[in-house]
Amino acid sequence: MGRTANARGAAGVAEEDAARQARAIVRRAEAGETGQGLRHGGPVVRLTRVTKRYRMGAQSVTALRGVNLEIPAGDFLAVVGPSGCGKSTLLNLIGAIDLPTDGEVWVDGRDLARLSDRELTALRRERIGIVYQFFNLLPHLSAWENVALPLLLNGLPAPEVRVRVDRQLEQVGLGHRATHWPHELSGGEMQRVAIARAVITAPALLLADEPTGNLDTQAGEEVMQLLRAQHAGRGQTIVVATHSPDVARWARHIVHLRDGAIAGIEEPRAPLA
Amino acid sequence: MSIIRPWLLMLAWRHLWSGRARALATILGVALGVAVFTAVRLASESTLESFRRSLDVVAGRATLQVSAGEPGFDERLYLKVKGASGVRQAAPVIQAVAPMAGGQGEAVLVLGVDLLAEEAFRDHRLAGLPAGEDPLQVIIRPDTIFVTRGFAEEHGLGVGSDLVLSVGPEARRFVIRGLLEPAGAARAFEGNVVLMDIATAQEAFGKVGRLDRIDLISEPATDLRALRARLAALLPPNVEVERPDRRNAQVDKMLRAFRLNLTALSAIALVVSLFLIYNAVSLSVVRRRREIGILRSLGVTRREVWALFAAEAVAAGLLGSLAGLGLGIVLAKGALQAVAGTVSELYAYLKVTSLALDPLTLVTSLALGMVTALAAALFPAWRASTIHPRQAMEVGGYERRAGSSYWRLAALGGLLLVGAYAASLQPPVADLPLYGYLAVLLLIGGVSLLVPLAAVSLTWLARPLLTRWLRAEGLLAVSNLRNHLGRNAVAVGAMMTALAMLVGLAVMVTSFRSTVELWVEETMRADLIVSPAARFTRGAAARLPAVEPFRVVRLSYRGDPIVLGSGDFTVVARFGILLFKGADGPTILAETKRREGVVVSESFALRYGVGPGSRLELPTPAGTVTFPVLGVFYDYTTEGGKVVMDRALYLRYWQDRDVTALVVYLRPGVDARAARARILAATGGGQELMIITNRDLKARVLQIFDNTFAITYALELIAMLVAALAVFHTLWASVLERRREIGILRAVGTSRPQVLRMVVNEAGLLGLLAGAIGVVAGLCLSLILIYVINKQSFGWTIQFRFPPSVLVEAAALMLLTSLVAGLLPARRAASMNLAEVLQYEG
Repeated sequence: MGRTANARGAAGVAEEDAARQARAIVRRAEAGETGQGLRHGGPVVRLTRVTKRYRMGAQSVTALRGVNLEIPAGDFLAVVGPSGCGKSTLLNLIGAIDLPTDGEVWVDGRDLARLSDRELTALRRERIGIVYQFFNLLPHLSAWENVALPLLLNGLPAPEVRVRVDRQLEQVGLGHRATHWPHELSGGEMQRVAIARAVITAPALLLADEPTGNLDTQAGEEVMQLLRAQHAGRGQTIVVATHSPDVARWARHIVHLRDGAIAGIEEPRAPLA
Repeated sequence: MSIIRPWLLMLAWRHLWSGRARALATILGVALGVAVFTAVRLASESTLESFRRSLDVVAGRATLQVSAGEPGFDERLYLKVKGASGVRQAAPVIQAVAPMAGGQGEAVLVLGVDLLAEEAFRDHRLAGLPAGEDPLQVIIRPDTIFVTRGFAEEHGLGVGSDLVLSVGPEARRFVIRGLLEPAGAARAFEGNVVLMDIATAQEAFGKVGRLDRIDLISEPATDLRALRARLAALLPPNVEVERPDRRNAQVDKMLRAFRLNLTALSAIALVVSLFLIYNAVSLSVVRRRREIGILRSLGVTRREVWALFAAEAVAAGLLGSLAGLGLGIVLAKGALQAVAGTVSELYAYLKVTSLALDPLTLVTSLALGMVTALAAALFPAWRASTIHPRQAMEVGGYERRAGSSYWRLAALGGLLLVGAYAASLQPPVADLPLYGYLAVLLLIGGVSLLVPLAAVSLTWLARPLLTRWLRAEGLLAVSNLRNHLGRNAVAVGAMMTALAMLVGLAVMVTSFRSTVELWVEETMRADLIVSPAARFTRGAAARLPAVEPFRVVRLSYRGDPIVLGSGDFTVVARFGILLFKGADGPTILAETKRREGVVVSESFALRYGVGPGSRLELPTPAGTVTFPVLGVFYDYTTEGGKVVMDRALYLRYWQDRDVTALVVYLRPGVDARAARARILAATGGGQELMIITNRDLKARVLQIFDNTFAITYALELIAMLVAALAVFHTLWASVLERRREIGILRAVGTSRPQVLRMVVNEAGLLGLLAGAIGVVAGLCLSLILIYVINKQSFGWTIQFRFPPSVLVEAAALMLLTSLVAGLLPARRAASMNLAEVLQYEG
């Protein structure tokens, strides 16, 4: 992983908050590209008593224990906690990459446990975008091809793919880097390509796992601005997992996670405008 | 001093174990390569061994043998030989191969001997002679024969049974009056031996007054060379005195080119497995780069790192070779019949049923498997040993380096191709096309080195097309091909080699077949062939429009077996049954008849460097005669070389009135079948008289041709199987290595079927590339096979024929093989657990 644990994010959380099960404040999503297919005002994500255990050899490790969480459409949520607190596991569950050991995960009005692999794949492809700490661009596809990938997977006609990818790259400010290979890009540029790839299908839900974890301050700032713009412009629901309070400040709500359980939910005292 | 620490070996073992599937594919590849090699070597060694053994047991304790080829010699020479000083014992022999009547091609070796003179030479253990009769009286009865116990049991015969053999024009009925226990000469040809009194044999085979051979035992103190010289002075020049092992040497020589070709073919699968091992070790080095860096930083020496990888390869080689030996022995039983059948049809009748597990062959195969493994590992193991401790933390350096050097590789490949061309221009070495084989190796090596450049070009060309056509799956496949250039090039190299060999052989065989068909069409104009035709009454046939008595005998020329043919040149010229090189047949034949000369086959001309204008010395019973050579004709019946003269000339010098076959030409419009019936009626309907119609004969020739090449295709298909393993291995490794990447793809919404299609597309691209290059390389290879290897081995001119259907089929087969080999890795990729894969290395 290479990240150092940072427990500061949880320091300011009130003790009483830890006791109550959290419910994020519902905020109506503005109708936009994202709004299609969403029930206005309903949660995009709902986790009910979600527990996730992994087997590691003979041992069983509990990554999440009885998490209840609702994320309303159009929210910008940060999940904060030290390394190993279960952030990535939570994002994997919300991102339909993994299924819980116990409890229910509902995304975009569907119970993931009831979906077939094909339906889960379609959900990921059409409704969810994911951005990773290590960018996870395919190294031997150009920036343009990386962004085009989800559209190609959806079988869109070539002219439409071209128009949309060009536009998306322009939007993240990388129109001039389209033909470059990932290894020719800076970290910030790679992450912007990754964001472009994540949002090219206009998903209802954008997940970002430590999106600035591998970037310097300046590039991290740019990436967060891009996410913010995405949220503001398209009204996408965004969930960012991070250990950094600085990143969390960009969010509208902050969920503190500790040892696999929600320790508290807060609104940043001074959210960045 | 041990060059490697035991705990390092333990590490190697753990790696092998954790990559079982790939290790198994490697081992299986080596096993198949070794198995094919072992099987073919065992079969051909068994065949040769059986031949030698038969010759040995038939020769018995003879120290010298007197013979004069197939026509034999005057029996009066026997007394001369027997009386020569230094000769202690002599025994006259009539020896012939006689087909069993209705025996479906099965034949027996007939030995006509003087049983009273035999004791010193061969052990004949006779059993079951009728009690109360004088054994001598039984033996000399004109229908008495003895067969081996094994033969009798196999055919449900016993003492008192009849056995009908085709000798001369008719079937002759013999009575089995005793059984031979398996000892001495009775062990020849797997017991297919019939013993009879010499007088009976002379009478039955039309050799009254003649002998095929005299075996003799010299006085203990006699110098054999001096004795040979003394005997040679007593005997006519066409009669040879040789040590019995000389015949073995002749057989070796006769079969040498055939065996070498077969061995070379059988090594193809092993060559293909070389690529497989090379890839396996290379991949292992790439994957364990970090580990090697750590080991080096801990003080493990370069040599130890080298030895570590070499040891892994040799271990895989050993396991594969051992499995290959077992499989090879099983396969050899099938190959034995194919090889023995071909030798019987092309060279001399032979029966082999039991496989000799020649220890030398087994050891050679084992060693070859391990040497192949080691040779394949040399370069990647060296690569591993150059890894610097600092590189422990880097990733992907190897592939990138291999990827950028494709121009240099291509340049080297070009050099090898030039070398291949130069080698193909060289003359044979000791009658063997050694440079031809070198040219094949250089060609394959050169083309293999061009593969990376071709792959890069393909990805460049195909990227936009495939993205458009196969969408994301196409784009991903083509970019993976480019990204893992090194390993993909090796997999393509393996497939390309197998395919090039297949195409090369197929084009050669197709060309050869069409040449032979044309030749058959041109030269086999006879309407009927009547055989065997010894002592055939010419009166009955004289009423037919044209009858050519044809005689073919095997002789020895400069110690090599050749065929001497004779026929009526007026008839030969009229029907054009000899096809001359660049000249008009009738003119040459008329000239040859007039000047009492000979014409020689292409292979004879090549081997002994004779041609029109040169003179040929042949030993005849009447002394050595010099014949002018007036023409060279195409011939595909024998590789040993053929000399043909007019029948009148042959009769004058050889005094041999026997006829091998009567070749009958009918007037236009005469029905061959009706004519056949008339001949049968005219000759008293000897039921065993074989009258072959033209159509049957042509079909038979082509059938023998096809049988001869059946085994080559079998060998080739196994090589393809090894190539498929290489594809499987590469894709499997690639899928495992790209777990995380596949995980990302799945996370961004790639469905399982899409992942499956992506890997299958990759396999398809590999197959396509290998198919395209393999077909081109195969065409080049076919030129070497046709104009160098075949020409130098057998002296045959083959007209090159371009067969588009073969090429299309081969390329399609390649594509299909590759796709099938890619299925399992594709399924593996599609079935990966997403969450686990993403955690991996996370």
